[in-house]
Amino acid sequence: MFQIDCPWCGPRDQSEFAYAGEGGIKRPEDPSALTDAEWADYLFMRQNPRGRHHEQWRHVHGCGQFFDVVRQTVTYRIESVDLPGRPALANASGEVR
Amino acid sequence: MRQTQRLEHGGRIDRSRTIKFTFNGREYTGHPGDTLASALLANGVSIVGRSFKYHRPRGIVGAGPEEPNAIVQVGSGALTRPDQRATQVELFDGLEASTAARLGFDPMGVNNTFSRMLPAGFYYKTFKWPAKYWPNYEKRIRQAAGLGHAPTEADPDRYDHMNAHCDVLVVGGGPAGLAAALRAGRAGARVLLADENAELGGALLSERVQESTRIDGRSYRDWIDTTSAELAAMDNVRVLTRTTAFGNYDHNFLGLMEDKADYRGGPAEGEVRHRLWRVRARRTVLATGALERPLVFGNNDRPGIMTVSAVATYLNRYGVCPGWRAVIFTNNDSAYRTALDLKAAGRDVAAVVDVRCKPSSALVDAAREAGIPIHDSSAIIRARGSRRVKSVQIARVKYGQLTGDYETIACDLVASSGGWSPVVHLHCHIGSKPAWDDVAACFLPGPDNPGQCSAGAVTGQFSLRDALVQGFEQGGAVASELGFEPGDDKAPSAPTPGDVLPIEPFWLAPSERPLSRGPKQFVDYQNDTTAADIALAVREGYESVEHVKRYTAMGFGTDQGKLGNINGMAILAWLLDQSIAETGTTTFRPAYTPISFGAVAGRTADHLFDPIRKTAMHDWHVANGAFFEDVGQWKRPWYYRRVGESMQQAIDRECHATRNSVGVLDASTLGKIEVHGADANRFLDMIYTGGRLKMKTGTCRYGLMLHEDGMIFDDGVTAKLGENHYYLTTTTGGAAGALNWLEQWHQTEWPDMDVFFTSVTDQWATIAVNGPKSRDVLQALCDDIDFERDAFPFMTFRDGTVAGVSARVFRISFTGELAFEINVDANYGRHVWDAVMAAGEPYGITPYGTETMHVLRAEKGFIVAGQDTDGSVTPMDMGMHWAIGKKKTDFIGMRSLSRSDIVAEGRKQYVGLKPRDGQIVLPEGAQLVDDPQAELPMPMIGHVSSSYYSDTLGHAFALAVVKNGRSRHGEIIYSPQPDGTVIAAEITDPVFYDREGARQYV
Amino acid sequence: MSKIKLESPLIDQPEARTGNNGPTNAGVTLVERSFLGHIMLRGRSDDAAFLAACARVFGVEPPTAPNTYAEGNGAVIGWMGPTEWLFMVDSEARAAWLDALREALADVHAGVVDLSGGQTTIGLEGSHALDVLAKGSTLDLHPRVAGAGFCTRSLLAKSAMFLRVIETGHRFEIVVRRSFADYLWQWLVDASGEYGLRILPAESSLALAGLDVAAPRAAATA
Repeated sequence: MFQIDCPWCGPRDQSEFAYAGEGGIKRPEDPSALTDAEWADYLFMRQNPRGRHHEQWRHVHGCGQFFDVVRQTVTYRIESVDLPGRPALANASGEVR
Repeated sequence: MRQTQRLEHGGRIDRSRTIKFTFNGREYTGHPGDTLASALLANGVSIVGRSFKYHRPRGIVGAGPEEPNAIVQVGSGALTRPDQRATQVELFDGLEASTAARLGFDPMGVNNTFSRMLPAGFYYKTFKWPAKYWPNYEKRIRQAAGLGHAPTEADPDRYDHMNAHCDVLVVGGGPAGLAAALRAGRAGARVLLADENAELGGALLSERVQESTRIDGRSYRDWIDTTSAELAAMDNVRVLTRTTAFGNYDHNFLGLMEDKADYRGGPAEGEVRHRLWRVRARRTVLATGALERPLVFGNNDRPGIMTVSAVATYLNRYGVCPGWRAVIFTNNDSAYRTALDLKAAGRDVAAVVDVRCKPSSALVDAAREAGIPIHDSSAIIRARGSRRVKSVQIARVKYGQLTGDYETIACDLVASSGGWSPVVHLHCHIGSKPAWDDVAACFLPGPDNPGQCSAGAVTGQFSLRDALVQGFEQGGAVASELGFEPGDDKAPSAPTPGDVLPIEPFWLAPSERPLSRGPKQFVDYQNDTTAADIALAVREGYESVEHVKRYTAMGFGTDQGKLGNINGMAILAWLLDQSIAETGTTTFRPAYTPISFGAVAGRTADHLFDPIRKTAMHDWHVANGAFFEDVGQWKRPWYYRRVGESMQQAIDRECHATRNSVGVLDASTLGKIEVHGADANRFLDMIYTGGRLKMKTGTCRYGLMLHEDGMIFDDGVTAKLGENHYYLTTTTGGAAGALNWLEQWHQTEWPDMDVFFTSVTDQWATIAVNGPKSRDVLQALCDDIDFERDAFPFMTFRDGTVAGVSARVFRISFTGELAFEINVDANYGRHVWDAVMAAGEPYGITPYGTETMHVLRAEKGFIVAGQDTDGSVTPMDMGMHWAIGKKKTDFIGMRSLSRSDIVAEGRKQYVGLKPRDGQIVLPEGAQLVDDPQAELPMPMIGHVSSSYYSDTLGHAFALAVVKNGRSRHGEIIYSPQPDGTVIAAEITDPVFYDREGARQYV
Repeated sequence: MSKIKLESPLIDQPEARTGNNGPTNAGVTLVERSFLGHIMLRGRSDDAAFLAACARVFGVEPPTAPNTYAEGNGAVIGWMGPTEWLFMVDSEARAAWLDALREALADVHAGVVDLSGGQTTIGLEGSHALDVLAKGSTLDLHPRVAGAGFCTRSLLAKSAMFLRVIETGHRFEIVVRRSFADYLWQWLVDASGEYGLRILPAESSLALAGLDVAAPRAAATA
């Protein structure tokens, strides 16, 4: 059972979170401009690395926020957590924890 | 029977009280503080079991969790506990224990006589063919194996989970663990100390009270008592005894099982029996100690042969000596301490047989001075005696070879010590590999896991003094890592041990006969695995320790190889001519010792197994004969059965009423989401296939949600409540997933859009009034909404007051009939429902459940997302081109709809099916084929997704997907059934009733 | 027309309504605080206009420090997420608060959602209240971690909850969704059993912690 350090709420048990897929995948600006192969790459192809994995989790039974996690898939060590690139979602003091 | 083996003095038992217990029906006595094992030994019981395969008589070998033989069934009836280690079963008055195997004459003992025909792999090889008979073989083999039996009655007890957080978890209450807990606790850290024993002290409790075991100048028992008291007095320290840390999981999460009642015969009314602790620690100190290995020699399983440490434990902790004349067999110094203990207890030590050459050290010399005969450079080759050891044959050995003649020494107790194996199990549970240490001749914990460290004997520090210092230091170190300030007080001190002669690894006593011909040399007692079995495995080509384990069964069973595995791995290494480090260990997995199913389940049983979600009208449904269907965690009325009705008759009645007058459905379970924000329309336009930009306030639109792969995953209605304010419905089962979907796109892809989503599923009770008379019912309940056809058109909503309660009424329909959905604050749901029933009485208003809902919607060809769709169908597959906004340039899933394989010919398409025999209802999920005579495997061209009997239509009908189905209306398709029959059906349009769709507009 | 009757989601648990005459020295006391006003407030923590508009109604700004709540004007406002707050008020005050909030927030990016019928409130207190929570919650509620003014959304047994610390270490409040309330109540009764349970008759007034209005607590995460 992992303990995940929610950027908002601090360390919480894995049971409060939901895995939300590989992180850092940006939806193409104009899908209609893509070939089938390019679109399939966005749709289906994932890294699934042995080692550092950039993934998304949601604190679904807490603050409800999605955030980015870098996790070692071998040791399960969580290297870092970050908000998914939205500076506006900073905490009270304006800093992104 | 008298306690003939009980010493006059000593031990931690309460001699002032005598308690009775039975073993295999015979009555014995013992004292509080005894274990079942110590009490049996006190009573002179030497045979406590029969071995797994050969049915050899077996006695107690160990004194703790490593015990492989004394596996008993405790108690009877619903409370019975199988496979308990007698060494860990605390004695209580009235305890009943039994063994599965017969301890007297055992007809299966014949297996021993013919044992050369039962080598490792015998069962695999013999019972492999014919495969269909394996279940019979298995049953016989299991019966013969003599393991315990599970209770057959329902468990009446309560079990519990407890989540705990601490700064420092200390596993093990021996000297190292106590010192660690003390230091961390004094520093102010939140400490949790867990120990599997009834009292703290660990291995110390097995020591004689003497000068060499004094701590801080006092008897170790005093020290344990004052330390326990100091820990108990600290608010920040929690001590759990009778609590085994059974598993070490990721991120410093450990599982502990606490016995709260078994030790005293079971829980009183309302008490918890076992508690599973789920501990999240910031730091963990593993002070799990070490277990002694026995030495491997011929007939080393005879009753009366034990580990040296077990003898020490019975002597010093329980005041029991398991024999009168002992031979000690060792390759290290620690056994000499016990030789001296035996001597001090007035027992005869006939010999210490030491494999080392001319041993000399503080302990060895002390034994010599005490007059104990020491046979150096010698080994026990085999034991004699059948139901109990009577003598041993020893001989001189060098480099593992016999170098001298046999000498026989009479004895009734053999204690062997092959050295100590640190209990690295917890350390290894999360993937860390143990490291072989040639000097200490044992596996030590590998690199520390994050946030965890080890202290005491588990690190190979086997002296009391070192354990105390190391524990104290680690306790202080982890506390200061966490920001606490441990004081500068000194570690508890024990006398400096004298010089120690190093251990000399010794894995297998030599013999003049080949391995497979001599008396059996047991490696794993519980699985009857011998050195010869390992040799056979190697001869047959096994090299990996994991494979040898599975071939020989070494390390399986309730003890999981705690006693014998290291010996087995060392023997394997020797046979493969490689190092022990190269051979490695098998994988250590939780649970360290078995835990109960009850503890795993905790409170998650019976009525608390899973939440039962009820709507505000639930009690009305119960009172009115509803049968319920589980939809997710919701209880939804399935149908309402009147006296004398069959289910089908009830559904026919409900359908008829709704199509011809008025029916009412509790639709409260539908997912409901409110959407706010200036970008709400833009956002929803991306989420739904249909346009949302031009919706007018007060109107509703049906919509499909696709995944990005173009497949339908949910549907529902969108209502525009106001400028920048929408309301969505989702399927009952899809509510949480749909909200998650919206949040994910918003938060991770379009965070700059101003939009909020709020679940209001539970806020609204939803009453769906359907049927030609629904308008009349609503008019009777509400005078501030104009329900006339043109004033309140289809696919719009109105706010008003229904039955005196503020309500939002939607004119939407899932039946194809004129219909209104009343939404009110759920606290008023029952009130409004009652009012609807009263107002509908003149029209024979009929409550209907999900089954009727399905018949009615399916007659109209309306899909249920998740039933008629399965994540592999697009809107076009479902014939729902109309649901896609013609002018839209993008929405989630849109690009996928033009992928080559999505637009390709031959996709399965949504159709209706009309069975040729209108009375036959096709099973949902049934496969569809063109030619039922085709060879297997038959090409499958579709399947049935919904299927019902329609009283309205007068025949059965179904919805299905069929390859190219839309162009095949009128053709016949077949569904072969498991019973060999074939159902023929005509492919039709999926809309069976009111094809023009006129009825909902009336 | 018949008298309009309200029903709590604990309708099937008669003791939640009437109490159980349990011992006064019970280790755990449960009470349903039924029919309170629950208003979900949506806005952005970094939106000054939104915060100021709230402050005009509430007296103080909604707390922006995660997992804290504030009290003001007889209401409680708890942080649920960076765009979500739960407003709780006495049941009679609900309508007035809804109107006031909707009016005050009409011109800013905000949402005001009445959830008063969609959830209920259970008070849990006593010397073993923390133990009962620990049986079903993985939260660390030790006073060192979850101090005065702490609140959070989380799980309790198999239900979602919104938890508020009223008095550190021994007095808590659980807000639970209507459809899970019956399950969660039964779970609480079962989990409390070994400590002695007293159930008080249902109340409909809001529990206030007497927090210092001027200074909402800082984040209580250790």
